[in-house]
Amino acid sequence: MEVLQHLNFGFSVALQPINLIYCFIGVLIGTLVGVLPGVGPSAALSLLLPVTFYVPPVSTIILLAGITYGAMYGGSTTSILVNIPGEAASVVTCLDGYQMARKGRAGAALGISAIGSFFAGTITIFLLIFLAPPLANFALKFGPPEYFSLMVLGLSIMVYLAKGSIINALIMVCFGLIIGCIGLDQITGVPRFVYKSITLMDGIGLVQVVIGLFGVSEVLINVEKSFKREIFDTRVKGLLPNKEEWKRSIGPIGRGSLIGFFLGIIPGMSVVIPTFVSYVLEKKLSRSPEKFGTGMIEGVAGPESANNAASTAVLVPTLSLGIPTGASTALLLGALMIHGIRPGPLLIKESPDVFWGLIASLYIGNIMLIVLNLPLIGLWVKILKVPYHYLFSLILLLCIIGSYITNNNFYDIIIMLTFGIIGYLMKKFNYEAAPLVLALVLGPMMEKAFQRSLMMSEGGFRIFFERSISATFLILALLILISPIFLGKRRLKEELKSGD
Amino acid sequence: MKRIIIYCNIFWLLFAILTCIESYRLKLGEINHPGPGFFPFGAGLVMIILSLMGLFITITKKEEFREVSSEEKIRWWNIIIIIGAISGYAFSLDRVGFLINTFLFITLLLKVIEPQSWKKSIIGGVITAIAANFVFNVVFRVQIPSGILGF
Repeated sequence: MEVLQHLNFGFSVALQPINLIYCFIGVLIGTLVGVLPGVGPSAALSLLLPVTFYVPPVSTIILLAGITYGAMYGGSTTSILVNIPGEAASVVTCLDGYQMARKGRAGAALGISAIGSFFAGTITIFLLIFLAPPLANFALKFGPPEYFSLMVLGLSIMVYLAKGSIINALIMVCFGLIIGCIGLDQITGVPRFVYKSITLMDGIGLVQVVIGLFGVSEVLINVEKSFKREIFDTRVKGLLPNKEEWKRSIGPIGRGSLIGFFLGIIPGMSVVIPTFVSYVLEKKLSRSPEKFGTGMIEGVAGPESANNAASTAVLVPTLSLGIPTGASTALLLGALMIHGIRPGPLLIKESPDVFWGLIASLYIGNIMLIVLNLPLIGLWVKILKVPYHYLFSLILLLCIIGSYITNNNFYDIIIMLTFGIIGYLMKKFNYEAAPLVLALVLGPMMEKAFQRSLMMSEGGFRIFFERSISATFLILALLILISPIFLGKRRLKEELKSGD
Repeated sequence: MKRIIIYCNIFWLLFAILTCIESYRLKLGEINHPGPGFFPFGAGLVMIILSLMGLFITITKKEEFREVSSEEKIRWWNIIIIIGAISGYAFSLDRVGFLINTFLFITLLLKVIEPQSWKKSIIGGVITAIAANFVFNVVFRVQIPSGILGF
C-alpha cells in the first residue's frame, strides 16, 4: 500500500503541466535521435545537459529520461524501413523487421514494435517500483570496498560483452581509468596530467568524450566513403498486426520484457545484449527457427520489448545505487548532481519527488510514445530521406555547440575533436568505445572508493576479500573474465552476437 | 593486418609506460595512504601487462590474419577537411562569433564533402546559421560569443 501512495504522489508530480511538457519534448527528441543514424541518446543528452541548468530538477530528469527510452522507439523505425539501425539496440530488429517490410508488412512490424515497447515499458516500471527501494535499502550496507568491487564487476561484464578481443576491451578500460584521473586528485587536490593547462584542471568532460567518440567519429567513418542509403519506398499502412500475428507476438513480448529487465539491471550489460538474448531465445523456442531472418514477427516483438525494458531497467542501479551503467545513465546522474541532488541509496528518501515523479513520468512517456509514434511514422520516414550531406553537417554543428556550451570554453571543442579522431581510429582498429566510456564514468568513483578502502584497511588489499559482499562481487568478476578459457574461445558470446 | 595490430599494441605499451613514469612522479604514497599517482600507476601497470600479452599473442599466432580489402578508396581528404574545419571553428569562435562561424562552417562542408552548387551551399549555410542562432541564443539563452557582429 505504501508503494501505491508513493506512486500516487509520483503521478501528482509528473502530471503537472510543466513536467508533461518536458516529458513530451524528451520523448519527441528521443524518437528523433533514435531515427537518425549517427546521433545516439548519449550525444543528445550531452547537447541538452547545459540547457537544463535553468530547468527544475524533476523536469530535467523527466526530460533526459524521455530521450533515452524515446530513442529505443525511434531506433526501430530505421531498422525496419531502411535496414540501418538508428540505435545499437535496434540492430537485431533489422533481421526480421526489414524482411517484414519487404513483404508489405512494414506497418505490422512498426506497430508490434511500438506496442511491444509500450507493454515492456509498463511491466518494467512496475518491477522497478518494487525492486529499486529494497535494493536501495540493501545498498545502505555498502561501504567503499563493496562499491569498488561492484564497479569492478560492472566493468568486467562490459569487457566480456565487448566486440573483439578481451585484451583490447581491457586496454580500453585502463585507458578510460587513466583519462578519468586527469585533473585535480579528489583526496589530495594535487593536479594530475594537466601540464599547466587550466582546461584540464577540471578533468576531461564526459560530454566532450561521448560526443567525440559517438558523434564525430560516426560522421568521419561515414564521409570517408560515398554514403548510399536506400529507403524502403512503400506506403506504411495497417499499423495493427493481424490476429495471427498478435497470437505469435504475445509470448515474445512477455519474455523479451523480462529478459530486458533482468539483464538491464546488471551494471555494464547495456541495452544491446538483452535484444540479442531475446532473439536467440525466440529462435530456439520457435517451431520454425529456419524462417528467422525472413520476416518473422517474433524476431521483432521480442527484441523490441527487450530493448525498451532494458532502457527502463538501467535506472535501477542508477537511482538506487548511484552507479551508472553507461554513458546515458552517467549523464542522467550528472544532471542530478548539477542540481544538487545526491544519487545513491538515500535518493528515494531525500528526493522522493525526483524518484517517484520520474517513475510516473516513464509511464506517461510510454503512452505519449505510442500515441506519437504510430501516427507520426510518415514524418520519421520523411526525415530519413533528408540527404546525408545536410544531416552530417548539422550533426557536426550540434556536436560543436554541445561540447562548447558546457563550460563556454573553446578548448572543449578541441577535446571533443581529439576524442572524435580517437573514436575514428578505434573503429578502424576494432577497439570498442563502450568499455572506455564506462571506465571514464566509473573511474573517479572507483578511485575514491579504492583509496578509502585502503585507508580503512590500515594496510593491504585484504579488505576487499574479507567482506563477504565485496568478495562475492570480485569472485564473480574474476569468473566472468576467465570464463572464455573454459567456454572455448568465447563461444557463448559469439553465439549471442551472431544471433545464431 | 597483423602488422597493424602489433603497432597498436606497441602504441598502448608506450602510452602505459609513459603513464607509469608520470604517475610515479606524482608520488605513489603508501598502501594505507595512497598518493595521487597510486591509482593511475596501477592502471598503467595493468595496461603494460595487457599490451605485452597482446603483442605476444599476435606475434606467436601462426594463422594468417585476414587482410581487409576495400573496393572503394578511402576519401582521406574529407576527414582532413572536417578536422580542419572544426579546429578553425574552435579557435576563431571568440573573435569571429557564432553566426559567421556557423555560416562558413556549414557552407564549407556542403561545398566540399559531398559537393553541392555554390547557391545550395550558401543558402544552406545562411539558413542553418540563423536557425541555430535563434534556437541556442534566443530560445535556450545559451551564451555563445557573438563576435564581430555583436549580436
